[in-house]
Amino acid sequence: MATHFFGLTSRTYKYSHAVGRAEFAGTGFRNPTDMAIAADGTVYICNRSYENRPDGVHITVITMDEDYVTEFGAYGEADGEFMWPTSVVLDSKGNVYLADEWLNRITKFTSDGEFVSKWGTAGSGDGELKGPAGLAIDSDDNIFVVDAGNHRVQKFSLDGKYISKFGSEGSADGEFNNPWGIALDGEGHIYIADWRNDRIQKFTADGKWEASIGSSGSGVGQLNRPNGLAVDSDGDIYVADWMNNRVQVFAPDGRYITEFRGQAELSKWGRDKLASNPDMIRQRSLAYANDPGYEQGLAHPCAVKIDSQGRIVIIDHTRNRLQVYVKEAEPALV
Amino acid sequence: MVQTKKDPVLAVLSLSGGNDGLNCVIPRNNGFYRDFRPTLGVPEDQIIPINDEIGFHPTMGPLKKFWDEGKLAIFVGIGYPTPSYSHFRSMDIWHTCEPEVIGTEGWLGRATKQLDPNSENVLTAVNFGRGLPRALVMDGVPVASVGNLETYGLLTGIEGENQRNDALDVFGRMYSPAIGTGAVMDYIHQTGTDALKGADILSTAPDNYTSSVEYSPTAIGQYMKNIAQTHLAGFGTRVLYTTSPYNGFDSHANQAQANAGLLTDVSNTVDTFMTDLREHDASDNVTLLLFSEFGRRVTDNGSGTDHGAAGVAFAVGEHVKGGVYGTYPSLAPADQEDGGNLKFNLDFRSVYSTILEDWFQLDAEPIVGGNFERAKFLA
Amino acid sequence: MAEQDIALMAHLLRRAGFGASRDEIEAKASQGYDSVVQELLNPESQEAVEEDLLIRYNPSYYEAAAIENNVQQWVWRMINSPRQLQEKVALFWHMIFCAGHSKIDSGQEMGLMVDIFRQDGMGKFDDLLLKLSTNPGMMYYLDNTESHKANLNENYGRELLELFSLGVGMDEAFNYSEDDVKVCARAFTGWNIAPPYPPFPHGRSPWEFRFDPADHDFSEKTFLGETGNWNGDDIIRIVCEQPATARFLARHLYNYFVADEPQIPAWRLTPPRDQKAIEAMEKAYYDSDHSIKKMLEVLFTSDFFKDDSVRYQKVKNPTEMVVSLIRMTGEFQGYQPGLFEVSQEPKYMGMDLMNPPTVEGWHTGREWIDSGTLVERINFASDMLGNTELEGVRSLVNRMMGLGAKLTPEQFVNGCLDLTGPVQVTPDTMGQLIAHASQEGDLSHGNASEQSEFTRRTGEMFQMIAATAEFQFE
Repeated sequence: MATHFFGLTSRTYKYSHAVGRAEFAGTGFRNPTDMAIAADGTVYICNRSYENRPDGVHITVITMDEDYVTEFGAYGEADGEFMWPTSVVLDSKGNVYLADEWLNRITKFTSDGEFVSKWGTAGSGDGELKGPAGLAIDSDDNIFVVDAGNHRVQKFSLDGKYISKFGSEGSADGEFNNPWGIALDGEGHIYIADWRNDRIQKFTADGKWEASIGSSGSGVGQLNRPNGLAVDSDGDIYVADWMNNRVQVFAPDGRYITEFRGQAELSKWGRDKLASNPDMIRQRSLAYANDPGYEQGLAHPCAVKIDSQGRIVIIDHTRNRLQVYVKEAEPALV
Repeated sequence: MVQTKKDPVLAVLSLSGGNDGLNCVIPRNNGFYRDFRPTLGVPEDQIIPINDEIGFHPTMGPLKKFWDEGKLAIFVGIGYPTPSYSHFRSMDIWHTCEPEVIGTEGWLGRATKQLDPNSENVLTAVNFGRGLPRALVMDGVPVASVGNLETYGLLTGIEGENQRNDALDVFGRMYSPAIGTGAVMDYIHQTGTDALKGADILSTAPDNYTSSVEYSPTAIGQYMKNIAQTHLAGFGTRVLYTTSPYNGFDSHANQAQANAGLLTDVSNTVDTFMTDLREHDASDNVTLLLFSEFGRRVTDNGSGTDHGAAGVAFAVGEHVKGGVYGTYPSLAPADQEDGGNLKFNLDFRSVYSTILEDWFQLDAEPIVGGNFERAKFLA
Repeated sequence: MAEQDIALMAHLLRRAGFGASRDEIEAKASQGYDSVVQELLNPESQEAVEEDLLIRYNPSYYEAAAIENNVQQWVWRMINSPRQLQEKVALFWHMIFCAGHSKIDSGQEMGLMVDIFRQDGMGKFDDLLLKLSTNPGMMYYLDNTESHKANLNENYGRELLELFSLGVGMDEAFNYSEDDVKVCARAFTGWNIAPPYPPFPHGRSPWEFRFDPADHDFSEKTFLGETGNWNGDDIIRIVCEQPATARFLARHLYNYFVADEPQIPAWRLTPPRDQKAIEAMEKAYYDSDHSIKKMLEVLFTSDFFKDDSVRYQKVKNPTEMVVSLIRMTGEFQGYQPGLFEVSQEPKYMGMDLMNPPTVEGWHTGREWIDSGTLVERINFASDMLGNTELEGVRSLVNRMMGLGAKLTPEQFVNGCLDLTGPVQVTPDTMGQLIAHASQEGDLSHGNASEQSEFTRRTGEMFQMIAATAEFQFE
């Protein structure tokens, strides 16, 4: 019997588990927009919530095993507060940086959530910000800020000193339209989710354009407002294809590998929640029998990260949870 | 029937969001309580005992004072048949006494209509907070809704006292009855004149108020202060209503911390309020009712509790007969209602009927839509 | 540009939309009345809301669960949508096809229902009624989910006829019988909802319509004199062919867009305020195969709509009051925090959007106003219009200064009334405003201190105008 292989067949991906549930505080998330995962597996998730529930706006700290650690930050304009959080990232010492696209500022916290400092000035001049979206920190502890409203990427020192920029508004190579997410690979390349141009652009560490992936649409390899993205140690690129409700995976050369549409099972906290609401267990069982895909599927995934074990962690925004996939070195049954 | 020196007054503090009865009036010796509240159970030695069976949450010491005085009624297992777990719907049911159909009239709107049939006093019922709760809605019953008593009035945005007074003079003249402008315009002129009159009267309340007590700076504290100020001003107000910040008691997560704060606030504020009225010798004719739209699930969800059914309510006042009314519902799994809920045994309309009949001396039946055995907690 | 053109355009934009800034009124007046009517009637000719940006900056709007979030989003669309008539029509249907959150308990379902009104509200009435009758929120609100072949619930059957299409009666006769109600309900048996996900742990799923043939009454039925094996869509077809439906729609459109009619229960016995106008719209309904858009076209291009006598004859509903002030002052354009508080204002004025008191909806006209809601209306309006720090108000102040180096109190009051409407006031009101302005004499703005005084007095006059009885109308 012949075995047919098509495309890139050297990888195996497997759904691992889901983390979290919808909650305005404590053991859950509300409209999470981004996360940062420390080497020890601590996860920092920034929750945007919404205006009439400002209590849902904070950074939730949990472990990948779904243990609640703490939460910090609150809705507002004072030091240590934020209004429209878009992104969170860690430096080499474990400090936490958060971008707020309404206040146009970056806030620095210790890993325990103590406010350290803030920087950022609204505007379009060098070093000024207009709707900061994605954040990334390179191995030299420089911070890249995707300056969405100015359609560019700016590089700063960790204390906010402007270093350089690249990009401008447009749709040609190296130009942006409201970019959002950013990722760096092991070699220092910069990948930007060029949100309204429905593509990923790859740059050298000093901002020279190298390649683009994707075009507008919902077909294979096409994107509909990509936002978060990550690159693993093999150079494979994971893109949160926001409005297509999936994560697409591309090889380092830009070829399409596969997509994740979500396979979530109930998380630990999800089970706790249902256990205290037996009527909802019944309701869910009927709904699940009718349409299991609804509960399993990704709904507006908006960020994807690689943890220290190489697991692919997706923020499943609208369902207020994480979905975790693993990439197996050896062929593995899924 | 209860004898008061002055016309009886009802004050209501609605606890919005669904107060967790189980962690407010706690079945302290009940093994099931420990089983079903692994995360949120209050340690027995911290509970403030009320009797052999139940006790208060540790933050509720100030309320316990009124229990000790015999002036606190505790309603347990309070609710209604076929519970709704929706905040809106359940609150509407408590407001309109209509569990089956969607009602438009509130029980206190109806009561106000009976208390002042010709709307002679524009301040017979006053609400504190933005927007009118359905409890006070009734066609033809004017109810002032006061966002902040200190600044209540018309054209509050005009800076400078003289400028504003001038503007209000013009307003008064513009809204004075006009001739030949049509029925709708006439009606609006009359309404504007009434509104100005109500605002003028109400605005004097804070000016004439002095007290040695200090209310907490929270919304609950400040609105209860407004209620005391309005009562003490002697406008003839019979129904004073306020609601805690919207859905504040909706403790799905991090309940232990959030509810401790809320219960502290409520208990302290009730204490402050009663002390204030007593200091002014004005407590004799006031009953204060506290309720919430539902209790919460028996089992905690690892961090909080979700929407449930039967809950607890309270009445405080000089004419309140202290005691526990209703039976504490069984927590045994077999006795829980579908959904993991406590089963009610005291209909909230029994409590309303008691207030209407024994306090306001009104016929309760047409107001609550039926005959409910009174929970005789007023004397 | 002729003053009457501006006044007419302002009238059109108040009725066919939620008002506009003075700049926009003038620009549209230059564009020409008929051209603007066509733009309004053909929303697809106007820019759509940029949904991707809206959700990017308000991620919770996507599949929004909370009712507040759905109300807020709708208010945002009313303020920002270039397709103003679409939002105005959505509100029109929401005030007729009433279902409320207090029972439905899913903000998302309310949002989806309103989206039907937005997308299909100007199309063929048959299509709209079918969308409504398969809308899960409505099916649940009016108990069609509890209506079974073996155990009929007449609620939806009755309200479809009484409140959503025929009306109880007209010309003193009745439009349908009790038997028609039962048959109507039988035809909708089996129109139900697939099991949705509960709110926990990840949020409710959107409800889906599901037809259950096993629960449908397939027996023969006689409805309004026609016999057949009718299903719900047949009922809708028959209903839409009735003269009573044309009358019902025409009166509703007149009541909402032209001038306050008596409350609906009086319609059987009370003839329309303007019989000829109603007949013209009925004719449009038949001639166009039941197009709401064609009825609206007749309405907006007719003399009865343009006539001076219908201006400021409608009491503004609370949503119109709030949104038109925001649009007039240029606030909340685009994406910014702070809209939640504002989106709750209509509720404080007695119109809890997406949560009407009953299926019969809100009582309109003068019943919007009582002593409590009047205080809310006046304070909101005067706080907005009198806030000279707002960009839109600032630009009105500048326009006032542009009227001349020196203004008499009369010129000043007339200018302020013109720019905030133009508002028409009674001679009494005019006299009071002028007397008030006269206390501080003429106005000039030659130096900084005069300018600041001019600004203060203009803001104050705007507040006074916002507080007039006349300002309660549109």
